[in-house]
This record gives sequence, structure tokens and C-alpha cells, in this order.
Amino acid sequence: MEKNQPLLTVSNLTVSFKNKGRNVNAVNNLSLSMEKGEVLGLAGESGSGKTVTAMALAGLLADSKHTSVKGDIFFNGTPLPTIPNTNRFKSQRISMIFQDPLQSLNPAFTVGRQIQEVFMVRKKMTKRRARALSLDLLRQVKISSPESVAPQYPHQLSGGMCQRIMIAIALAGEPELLIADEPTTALDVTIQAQILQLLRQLHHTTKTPILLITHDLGIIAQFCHSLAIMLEGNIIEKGRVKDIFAGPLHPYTRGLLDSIPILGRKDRLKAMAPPRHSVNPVRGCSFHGRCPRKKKICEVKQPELREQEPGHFVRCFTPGGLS
Amino acid sequence: MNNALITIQSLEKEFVVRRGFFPRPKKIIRAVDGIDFSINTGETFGLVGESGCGKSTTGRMLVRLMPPTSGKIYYQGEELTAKTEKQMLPLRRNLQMIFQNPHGSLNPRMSLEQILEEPLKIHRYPFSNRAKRIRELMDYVGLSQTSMDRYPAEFSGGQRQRIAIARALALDPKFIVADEAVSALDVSIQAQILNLLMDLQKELGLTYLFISHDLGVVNYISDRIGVMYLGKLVEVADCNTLYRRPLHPYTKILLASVPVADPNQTFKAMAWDTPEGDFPAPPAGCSFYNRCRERLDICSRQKPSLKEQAQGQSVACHLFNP
Repeated sequence: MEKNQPLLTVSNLTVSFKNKGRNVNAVNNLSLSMEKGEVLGLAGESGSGKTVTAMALAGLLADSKHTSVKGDIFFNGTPLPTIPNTNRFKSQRISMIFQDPLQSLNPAFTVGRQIQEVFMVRKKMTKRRARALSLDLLRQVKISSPESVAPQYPHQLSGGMCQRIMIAIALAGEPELLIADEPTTALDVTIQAQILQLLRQLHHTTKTPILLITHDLGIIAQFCHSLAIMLEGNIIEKGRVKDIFAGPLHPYTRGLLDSIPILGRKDRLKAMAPPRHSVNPVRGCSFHGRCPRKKKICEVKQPELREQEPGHFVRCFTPGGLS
Repeated sequence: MNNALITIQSLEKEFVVRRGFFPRPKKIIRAVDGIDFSINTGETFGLVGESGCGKSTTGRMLVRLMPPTSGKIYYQGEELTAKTEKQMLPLRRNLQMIFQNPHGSLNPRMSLEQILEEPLKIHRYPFSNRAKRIRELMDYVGLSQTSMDRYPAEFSGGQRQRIAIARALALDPKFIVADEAVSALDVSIQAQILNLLMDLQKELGLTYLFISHDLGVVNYISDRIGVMYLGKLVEVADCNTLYRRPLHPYTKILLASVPVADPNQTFKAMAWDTPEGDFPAPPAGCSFYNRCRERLDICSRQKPSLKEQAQGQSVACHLFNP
């Protein structure tokens, strides 16, 4: 069956930026695959390269004087170019939702027009047809009176409403993959619940796979099928959400799970060693300076991502704390 | 009520929004709309609510960074609101604040030593003891002595928040307002700072007002929690009661909205779909009326007041105060 072919395969993706004459790798030889219909969570601390990975996947980063994007991205078996492509906008199969809805919408156009634009450019529709479809879409993202919302400008709407508009714009292109980069971080917890609920319903009906980037492990526990944890530009653990939460294999994942306060529990949090404050690459495992179960080999050699249990990958010499 | 360190009575704050060049009809925003509560010595009082509900404004008024429009604040029985700036000065050493963003709240042109010395200078701390005190402060928050001459930009976010905490501790305060003190930090660092705040509380007998939008964090650190909605306190309870048996419909929505980091617990979320958009409070009734699922007839006509329901749990809702 076709099912075995993953939707997205990324191999050896490296993104580096030139900073003060030096190359800094934001994403370091990252490999990742995503199944059809899956909701994959990508988590990690700030600066771990989550957003840069997403931007590279969406083709928003191009090779230039200051940026280099290397590696192969296969989408449904066909390679996606990592070079700038002016026509990409028209043939784009990946849509992205950004963190700050107010800043990612154009303040000078009405929100209705910003949704119509997608239909008109991509599908060469007439304005009238595009308008009708955009109103439908607004209804789909649970805006109760689309006719009155469409002629408004982003600043007239609340953050939650703007995020719904962003989702509508992303869906307008009927993407084969939706990348949501911290879609609810800027929102209040009640609005966040609404937006997550909406994304979940949309996923149910359209089966569009979602790559959800967040630092909130609560969101991942509730909304994702599988999870990849990033640290210093690379994936250190990947597997089904249930497996990882039940038995994290990497000490960093363990540390993350131990350091979030869970509603209703008061046991003292176990704090992890702070991230190192440097962009210089380290020899060996990138976590060894903070690792509670570091061994000699960790300082010398970078561990490979290995399948420790079926479907559960980890990049560690002592997975799960085996001594 | 002898145990109360801070007591506030019908505290209000109005902001006047002027639109346009000529002063036209002014719009008045009531950020804090008549709240009462007290904080006991040695406890942590958490304040939660959505953005714009007035929780930061309340915190700022408590340390008198902002004068209230009306209402009274008592600190150890002394009325802060009646004091002049000059009379306030000796009291200020007892009331300190930690801000959300450690990038913005530390002067980038002052070294760590200067930052920590400034409060000591202002309050005429004996010159001979200053250096010792600064070293002591750095020990409290776990900063290395060698970083004394470094500037804020050379520290990471978590370390900067430690500096902010050290500065707040400089004058041996009794009461600290922590306004979203860990919101800008990564979870691993957040855990460290929360533990640090709790250890310092035990060691120095501090009292905290802890303001945050993150219910998990507030629940972890607080003894009692107040829930605010549109400038009003809608429920106050100790943290276990609030979590196990929330009474106010808004508290229930808040708690159900938090995605719990445990895949075996299902997301309670909204089986009810709260409609989108703004929810202006009806002028006469309960501020939560337009969003409430359990509203009664009386709710649109009469404002509910905060009344004690059970041991230590008060709620402002007509469902419970018939």
C-alpha cells in the first residue's frame, strides 16, 4: 500500500547563519519523517532550532549570503527545493501559521481580502467566487458572523480572532501539510483552548497533517500523536506521545517532564541544569555538560539516533538511565 | 485578622483614554473595579486571570508604583494610600517588586554590582557593610561572585531574573510582588526560579503576591489563589480547594482550558463552545454575564459580591448567594 510512504522525509537538514564572520548552525544535520494524517509535535527550549526547522520546511529560508540551507526534503516522494523559487507561492503545498497573529497579518488590508487573495492567486478565481469561499472558510473556523468580520482590519479584532483568520488563510490553499509555529503562545489560556479545539476539529474533518511547534508539553500531551524533542539543532528523542511521557529515554526529556508544574500536584519540581550560553559547537553529545548520567564516551562522541524500542528513537549512550 | 500583612479594601483604578487631538468625550477604563482581599504573613497569594483583567495593575498599586483611584491599602495596619511620597520612602524597603521581563527591568549600563548597590544607596545602608551585603545577596540567588563586574547583557534570561530577585531582596523586604516573574523563561529555568523563590520564602519569611496567567505555575507556588475577571475578584480559595472544587463558572472554564502534560488525562476543554469576540460586561450586572453558561435572570441586573461559601473559599456569583 501507499501508506508506507511517509508524507515528509527530511534528511540531513543543516541550516546555518553567518554571524560575525562565523557560521552558526541553527539546525544541525537533522533527519525527520512524518506520516500521513499525523499530528507531530516539535518541542524544545528556546534556541533549539524548532522555528528554523519549520521555516526551512515551508521554504521560507533561502540560501543567501548569510544563510545556508543544506539537506534533502522529500514531500510525498518528490523533492522540495531548498533554493528560492519565486513561483513557489502559487504551487505551495505547505501552509504555515505563525506565533503572533497580529504581526503576521497585513495591517493595511481587510482580513476578508487577505483570505480572498489566496484563492485568487492560487486558483485564479474571480473576486466574487473568492469572496464567497472566504466567507465559508470564516464559518469553518467558527466565526459566527463572517459578513461583519470580513470587512474589518486586523487591529479591530482580538488576538484569538486574528489567529482564526490566520488559520483560515492557511486552510484556503488546501495544504497537504500545515505547520503551526507556537500558534497559541500569544493567547490567553481560554482562547488557546478554543484555538486548539478548532485545530483538532479541522484535523478530524480534513485529515491534514499538522506539525505543531510548541514549548508547552501540555499542548503536546493533549493534541499530538507523536513527538520529537529538539536540543541544539537536532532531534534527541522521537516517538509516540504516550511512550515518551510514560518512559522518556533521554535525560533531557526526563528533565523537561520533571520541571513542569502540573495542575493539582505540588511535589517539588526537579530543576535541570541551565542551557549553555554559547553557540560554539561542542565535542560529543550536546547535552553532556548538563547531563546527570554522563559517561566518558559522551564527551568524545556524538551518539546516533537509534531505535531503542519499536517506534521510539533516542540519541543517547545510556537511554532510559541504563548504567 | 491580626495575621494579615496586606489588606486592601474596595480598591479601584480607572484609566482615562483620550482619543484624538482635541479632548473629546473621554473613555474610562476600569482596570480594577473594587476588589478586597488580604494576604497573610508568610503566605503566597496567587493572582490569575486573562490578560487585561487588572492583575498587574493590582500588583503595581500594592507597592505604590501607581496610585489607586479609590480604595485603601493597609500594610501592617498602616494605610499606604494616605501617605505622601516622603512618608512612603522608609516603607518602600519592605515592599518590593520583580518584573516579568528581566531584559527590560535591569539598567543595561549598570554592572551587577551597581544594580545591587543602588537600593542600598537610596536607603542609606551603612557604607562599610555594602560590599558584604552584595556578596550575601549573590549567594542567596546562586550567582557566582566572579560575575560582579559584568553587565546585564552578559547574562542569560534565567540569570537576569536571579539578579532582579537579588535586587528585590537587597533591603530585606517583607513583601514581594512577582509579576509574571517566570513567564519569559524556558520551563527548565522556570522550575529553578520557582524553587529559588520558595526556598527564599522559607529562609527569609517572605510574603509574596504572585501574578501569573499560567495556572500550573500559580497552583504550584501559591497557598491561596484569587481569580480575577474584568477588574473584579470572582473567587478566592486556598489552592487545593480551588483546584478540586472550583465554584465560579469562570474558574471552571479557566481550569478546564489548561492542557495537562499527561496524555492519559483527556483534555476537558470546552464541550461548550465559548463564542469568539469581546465580552463587554453589562453595566448593571455580573461582569461575566455574557460568557456564562449557568447565568440566571438576576445576573444581568445585579452585581454579585464576594461572599464566603465554605472554609476559606469566597465566590462572587449569584448561583451561590441567592
